[in-house]
Amino acid sequence: MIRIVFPITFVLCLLLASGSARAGDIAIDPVPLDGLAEPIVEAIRAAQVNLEQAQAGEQTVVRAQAYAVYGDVLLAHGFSDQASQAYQNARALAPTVLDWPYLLGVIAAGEGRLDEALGLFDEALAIDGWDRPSLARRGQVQLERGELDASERDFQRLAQLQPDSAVALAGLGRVSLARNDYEQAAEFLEQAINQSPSATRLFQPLGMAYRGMGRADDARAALARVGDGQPSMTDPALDRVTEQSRSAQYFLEVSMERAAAGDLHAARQTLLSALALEPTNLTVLENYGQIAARQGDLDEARATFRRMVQIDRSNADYFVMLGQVDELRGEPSEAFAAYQQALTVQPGLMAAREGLAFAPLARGELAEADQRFETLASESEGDAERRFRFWQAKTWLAKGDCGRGADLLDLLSDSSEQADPMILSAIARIRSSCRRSDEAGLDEALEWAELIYDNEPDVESAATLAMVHAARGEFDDAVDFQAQAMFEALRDGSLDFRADLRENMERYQNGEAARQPYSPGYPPFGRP
Amino acid sequence: MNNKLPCVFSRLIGTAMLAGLAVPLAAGDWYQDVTADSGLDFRYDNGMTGEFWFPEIMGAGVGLLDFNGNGLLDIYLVQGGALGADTGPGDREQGDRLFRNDSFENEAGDWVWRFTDVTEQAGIDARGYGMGVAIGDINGNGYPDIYVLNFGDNQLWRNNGDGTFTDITAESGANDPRWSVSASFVDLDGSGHLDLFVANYVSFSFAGHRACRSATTGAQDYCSPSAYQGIADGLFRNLGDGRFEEVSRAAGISGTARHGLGVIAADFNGNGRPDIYVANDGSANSLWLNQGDFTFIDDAFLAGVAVNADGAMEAGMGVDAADYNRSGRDSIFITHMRRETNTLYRNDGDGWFSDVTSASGLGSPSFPFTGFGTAWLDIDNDGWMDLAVANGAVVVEESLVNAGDPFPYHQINQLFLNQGNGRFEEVTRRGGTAFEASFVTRGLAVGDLNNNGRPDIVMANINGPARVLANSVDNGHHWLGLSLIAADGRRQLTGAVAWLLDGDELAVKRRSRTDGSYASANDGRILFGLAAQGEARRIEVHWPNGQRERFGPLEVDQYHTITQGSGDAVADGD
Repeated sequence: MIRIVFPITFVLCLLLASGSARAGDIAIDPVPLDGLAEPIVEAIRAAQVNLEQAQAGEQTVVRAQAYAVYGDVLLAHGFSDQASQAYQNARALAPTVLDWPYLLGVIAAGEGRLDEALGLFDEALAIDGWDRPSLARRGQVQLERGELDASERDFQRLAQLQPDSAVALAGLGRVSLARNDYEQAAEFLEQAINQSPSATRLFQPLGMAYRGMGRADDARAALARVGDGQPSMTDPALDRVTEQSRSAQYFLEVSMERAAAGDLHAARQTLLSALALEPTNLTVLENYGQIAARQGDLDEARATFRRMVQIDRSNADYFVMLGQVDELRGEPSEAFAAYQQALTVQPGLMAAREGLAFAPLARGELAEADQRFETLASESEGDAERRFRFWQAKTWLAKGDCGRGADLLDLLSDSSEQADPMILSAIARIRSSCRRSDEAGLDEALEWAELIYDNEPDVESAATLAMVHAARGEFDDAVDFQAQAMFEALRDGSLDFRADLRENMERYQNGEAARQPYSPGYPPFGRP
Repeated sequence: MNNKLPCVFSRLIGTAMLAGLAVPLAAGDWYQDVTADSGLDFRYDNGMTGEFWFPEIMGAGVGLLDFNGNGLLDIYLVQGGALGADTGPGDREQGDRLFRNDSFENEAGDWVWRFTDVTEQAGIDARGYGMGVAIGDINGNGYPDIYVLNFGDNQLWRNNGDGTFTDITAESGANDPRWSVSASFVDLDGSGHLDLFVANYVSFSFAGHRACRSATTGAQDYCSPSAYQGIADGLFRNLGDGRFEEVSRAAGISGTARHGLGVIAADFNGNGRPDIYVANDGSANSLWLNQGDFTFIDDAFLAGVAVNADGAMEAGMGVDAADYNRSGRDSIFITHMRRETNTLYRNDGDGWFSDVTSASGLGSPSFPFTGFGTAWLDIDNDGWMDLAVANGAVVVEESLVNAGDPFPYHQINQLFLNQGNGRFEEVTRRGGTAFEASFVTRGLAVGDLNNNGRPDIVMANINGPARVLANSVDNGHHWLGLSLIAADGRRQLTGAVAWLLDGDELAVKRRSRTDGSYASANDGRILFGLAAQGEARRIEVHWPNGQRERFGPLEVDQYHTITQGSGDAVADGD
């Protein structure tokens, strides 16, 4: 059906496109619709029809708006050349509207045509000298062109308009860094990160500023936190373009950016937009299920993965995902069945074999788990073997064999060329609970736990630090960090499943240390 | 621009045939495509079936080597072929090809380009799904050996010194069965033997293939590397008897699983030991600092070369390093995907770098292109290192889709001229018709194929012809060529550094290397561009074992074999 419709549509659109430009307007190149998803074709056709109708009238404003809408739809689907042509017509018809030169500038900057982009942002700012997105983008373009004074002026003006703007502060920091004014750069960039903690890319220039100041340790700490989050600001014109997208893949990628920036809620909502367009898109479903699971919405995650295996029963990975979410839901038997199904589809699939070891661990069938980890470890080498031995040690801990588990973990730690946070964290917990260490051992455990927490403050690292503090009799600190762990769990939606956190909190509040390093109540012991 | 391609080729071929033998030079063009009628008849077939298997879009490379010791660089080209879950290497009819350089100067004084396919007589049967090639003399017999990187098992071909090769993959222990793309032969411990660093890409299997689509149009397309798990690189220590020991774990590199594509070895922190830089695709780049005991620490972040100045992990593809600003330090140039810039990391000393892409002028011109192979080379022999960049998209180019192109990924390649002040000017147009043509280029290797002192370029294209671009710059600039040889008189000493002296001062630095670029291997000799200076020049060589010697004066406009131990020793502190 689709294969027949597309060529016909293509011809129609060619006609529409060639017939929509009036004398004096820039002709818009035809848009090839063959191969595009149907919702995209429909959106482009609708915008073309709207433009055609507007062209029949005499109202300049209406024609300009129709060109702009057409441009938005084209830009949203990657047809930037045609979108530029549409915006140029809109600009010619309504030269006092800021959006058209602004969006033309965004397109030019996105293609690396910085001279052209600068002129267009100049034009936009001549219309409204206080337009924040235009100031931010012109500042960025000037920075890339090495025009530091001009860039600084725009970012300063932006900061005047919005003192807490992470974009402005980051821009000022980058300008200072380019001038080798490291202290000033660090100050601006620290402020920017404070305003926008998810803008993890800023740790790179911040690290370079610290490096320039001779603060190598601070630089390393900052650089270890570099991620993919960027400072963002409200951008109505570009938001309007984004809203026109009918590409599930586009929403998927936006969702990934949002997830990378730590905003799982927004990421999930964006995936719903993708699913509205393509309900059976397996990649979208997979990501939706994964985010739901990360948020602790395990029922939704399970329903999603079940849907995936219904759509495609030949993909073993989907059965593994189903098994993993069943594990998290505390249904190890169902998880076991899913992993077995995965192995039926793809014999030897390591993730499924691992699952068949973790599932009995979660079910409390520790002898079987022990045997399966032993098999996996003996068949592996290097890092894989170490990982399975690590879980074997945890299995022994679950059996109550604290000494044997501790010995294996010590062995793994001693044979490790680099400090492994997972192993050190486990040893710190053992020393703080079932095999209480002396003061020196607890000092060392505290040092590890603090380092791990500083490097990656999350539920587990906070809970580990709390456990060590409790073992040292520092119950106020223990309660503080346990509260931090519970807050993190609340934030990621997992608190309801973490009875262990509550149990230990009660103990610390009562002046008692933890009894065991990991609670069997959270299967399988915080497996990532 | 693409529409011109058939016309240009037709005209070139016709002209060459009329001329009888020699290909005439287009006036003013800096490069001339001399492939036609040269016998270099090779087309990389990626075997695409419409399934969008990820490996289809990533190959392949080209290697330059003088395999028969006749003084002319020969060409090794990696082949792809059928690809799929049920396709083994033996199912591929085509394999890699070795072309012997039989070019010569005719009676009229014109250079006649001739390449002869000698694959079978050389005993090479390499039918893996090819990605890249690395060249190095692993056993010090004076003949370069070939390491082929595949999607799947790699192969090591020992050069027997009689025009033939032997597959010693199994007994050498140098195989890395994972998806490898580029490799570097480098003597990491000063033992005199070349060790092997292999950049590995992703864990891809046909069962785990993912269906990806364009973000904007929703049409099916190749995946980004983030769809697959990155894998750790491999390090093989040369035991000196033709065998290698895989030491990745002991060396400390096995725990870092990223998306490695390009690799270059050089002493980046100036401590006298070669380090290794890996361009990773969509993940942070790695700078493995050599600790001197065959262990390595990745210090890319503090060095400022892990991510760009914005903190973005870019799609690192090809990479090369050279002293482009006469600082005496090797800076790093790395190619990236469209809508990212290629990036120039300037070496500021002590192993610290700054991202100077914008200030250098290299940013904006690279924005519309997806760069792969790249090399520093002195195109005009003015003494400043310029840049060549091979481009080709990995996701469809909408403009080509509009034009109904069946393989809408091709782009033009680029040239950048070093202005000598830290800035570069794009001079692609000066490249002439050879640079008007548009291909899906991946591999790029630089070498002086006709020994005229001007660096030529060989490119490998997906579903397109391999191309030899002869440097035709005719500006009268002088040059000095060096082949740096070990004291045994046989081995080319990769990693040795030569300085051109200005009086007694170290003036211009060049490094002997075959690695860098993307999936490719370069001419291991050194070329100094001398501009208008035609007098004999003295040089100082820093050998890999730390020894320093001075040689010369050496006559210009010719190659010299410089043998370790035959010069005037330079004492420490001099």
